[in-house]
Amino acid sequence: MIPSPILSIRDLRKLFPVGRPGIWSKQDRYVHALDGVSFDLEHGGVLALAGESGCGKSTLALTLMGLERPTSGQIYFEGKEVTHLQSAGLKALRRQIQMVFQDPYESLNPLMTVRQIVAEPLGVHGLERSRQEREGRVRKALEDAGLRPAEIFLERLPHELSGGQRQRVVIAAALVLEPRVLLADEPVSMLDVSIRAEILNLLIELRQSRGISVLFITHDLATAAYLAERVAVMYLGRIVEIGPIQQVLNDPQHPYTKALLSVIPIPNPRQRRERIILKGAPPNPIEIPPGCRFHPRCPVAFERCKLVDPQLTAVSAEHQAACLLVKEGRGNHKEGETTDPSTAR
Amino acid sequence: MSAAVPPLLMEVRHLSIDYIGPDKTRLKAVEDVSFTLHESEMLGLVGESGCGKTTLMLAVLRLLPVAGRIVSGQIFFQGRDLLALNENEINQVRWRDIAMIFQGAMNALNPVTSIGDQIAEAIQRHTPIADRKALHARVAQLLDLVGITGSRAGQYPFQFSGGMRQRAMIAMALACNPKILIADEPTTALDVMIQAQILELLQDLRRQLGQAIILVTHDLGVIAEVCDSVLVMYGGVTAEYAEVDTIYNSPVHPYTQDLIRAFPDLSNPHDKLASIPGFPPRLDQLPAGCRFAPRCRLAFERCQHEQPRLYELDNHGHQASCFLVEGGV
Repeated sequence: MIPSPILSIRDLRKLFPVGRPGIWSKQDRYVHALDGVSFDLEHGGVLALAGESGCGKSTLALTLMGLERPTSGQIYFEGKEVTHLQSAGLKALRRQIQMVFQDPYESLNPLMTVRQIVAEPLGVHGLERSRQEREGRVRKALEDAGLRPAEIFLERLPHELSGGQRQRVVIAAALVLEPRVLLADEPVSMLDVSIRAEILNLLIELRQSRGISVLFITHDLATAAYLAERVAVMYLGRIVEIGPIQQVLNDPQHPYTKALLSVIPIPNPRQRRERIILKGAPPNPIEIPPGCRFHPRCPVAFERCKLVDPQLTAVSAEHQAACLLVKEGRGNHKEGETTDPSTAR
Repeated sequence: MSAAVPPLLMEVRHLSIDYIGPDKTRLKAVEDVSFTLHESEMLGLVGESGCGKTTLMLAVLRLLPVAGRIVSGQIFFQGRDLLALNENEINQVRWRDIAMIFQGAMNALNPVTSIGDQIAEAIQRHTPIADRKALHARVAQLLDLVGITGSRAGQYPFQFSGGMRQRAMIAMALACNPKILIADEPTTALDVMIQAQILELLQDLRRQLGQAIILVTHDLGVIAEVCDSVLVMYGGVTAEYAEVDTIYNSPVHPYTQDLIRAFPDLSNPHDKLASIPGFPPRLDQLPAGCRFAPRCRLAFERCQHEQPRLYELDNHGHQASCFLVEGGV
């Protein structure tokens, strides 16, 4: 039996208006931050969302938190549509989906003690039934986040903590509501290398002990490989490849994934290899290139790529890529088996 | 290092730097660090925040903040002792011979001056070109060298992406064709693809112009990809210094070993990442013995109260400061 996903996203779009190109122009212009994104996050699963700055990964997180309204598309939480929830419903949803932000040096109030920081979400969500209960929950969250014993941390201020400990406080403040899903937006990129591993290992532990599902947003596929089972590679507001992480790493199909993988530094000089270095930066998301959005930077683009916008196509049962070469080049899937998750039910 | 060694450009010998606190307390920021740099060599300087990497580089340019003092040691550049030069003489060396791309400098470009004018300013400051046309041509040439079309010289920093601003900074550092380029965390805030572009650019520059580059970073992956030699610093001292292959494939210092195991490796995604418990020492609370001892999994009695000296391990310059290597590996 396949359990239904805890979080499903179908054809999600988010456009930000940026005004008109000229004052007489009638056409509004938009930043296409999310341009038809679909994926499932399984119960207890870890999905990594990888891509360069500006590919839409943070907009996606904000949209899932209800901090941005999607322009179109649906978000399902445990099978129920939650796209248009308002006030109370949205607040209830946010209890289930909590976010861990990137920078623990910026995201903790310097004047609040660790106890106050971790207890604050309980107050916001009206869960402070008794002092005792609050205290118990705060301690449990801190200990689950690896700050043991909790007593020695409760009265400390953020400046008395190391970077790794701060990030654990951020995680504890998310855990205190006992959420089902954690959205972790680059949770280790601001930390020193020697302490990154503890935070990554903590996320793995939380998943095993609490069955929390994690959406791990990163630009670092090496870290993603360590933590996640599945990976979705985003480019200009769209997923260009998605699948089990080992399949994607060992047999990447999309030229963008191949390039990204080739430039990730490997900490061994004996494994220096040919890097596929893409020129320039991703194009302006206001003017998405026609055809395949990657074709202007693609090292293997051909004539048809300028015309046809490729959809996600099955490479194998769970692995899909949006590239014309996948459709035409590989014969290991049957016609009609193209599973675009936006149409899958 | 290898068979035909290119000429020696710089040699730093037993350099120690203190910061003097407001109450005259002395903080040992760098202690007894030595390294050499040959023509077209890329040296990686790696360590966690606060380990003294940037202080060491500022000392090389004699740009330490007011509280910083070089308390002992020598810095030779092409045979001249930089510490013996007066202010005028060192000014001739800065930028012309040794240029530095400061950490985060790409975000410190003047927002109301065009990129071209800012590069021209760097040229005029050090090697003035009187003829305006020749100056413009030189600016265009420098931009071209870093992969920016000369026609964008008139644009302002806000019109450049992060990667392009970093390229512009590199162009500025190259203005006087320096022999040594120091790049302090040049790719830290950039995406992997832009990072790869900048690393490729630095590689090209040293191939084309024979520049020696010191790459300061906390990213061991980056160093493995591009450097020839590596200096690993911890708490102001050299933990280990060796050729790049030695550092990654036969490191002897427990810190180097742990640091490598803490780094996610795409070629071995299933290796469990090991973190190093604790955190780097603060300069005002340096441990009595080995600076790494409180976090070291192999520390023993002697490490707690005696600071290991830097041991030479072979004739190729492999050094490490750990009692475990005493008497050879």
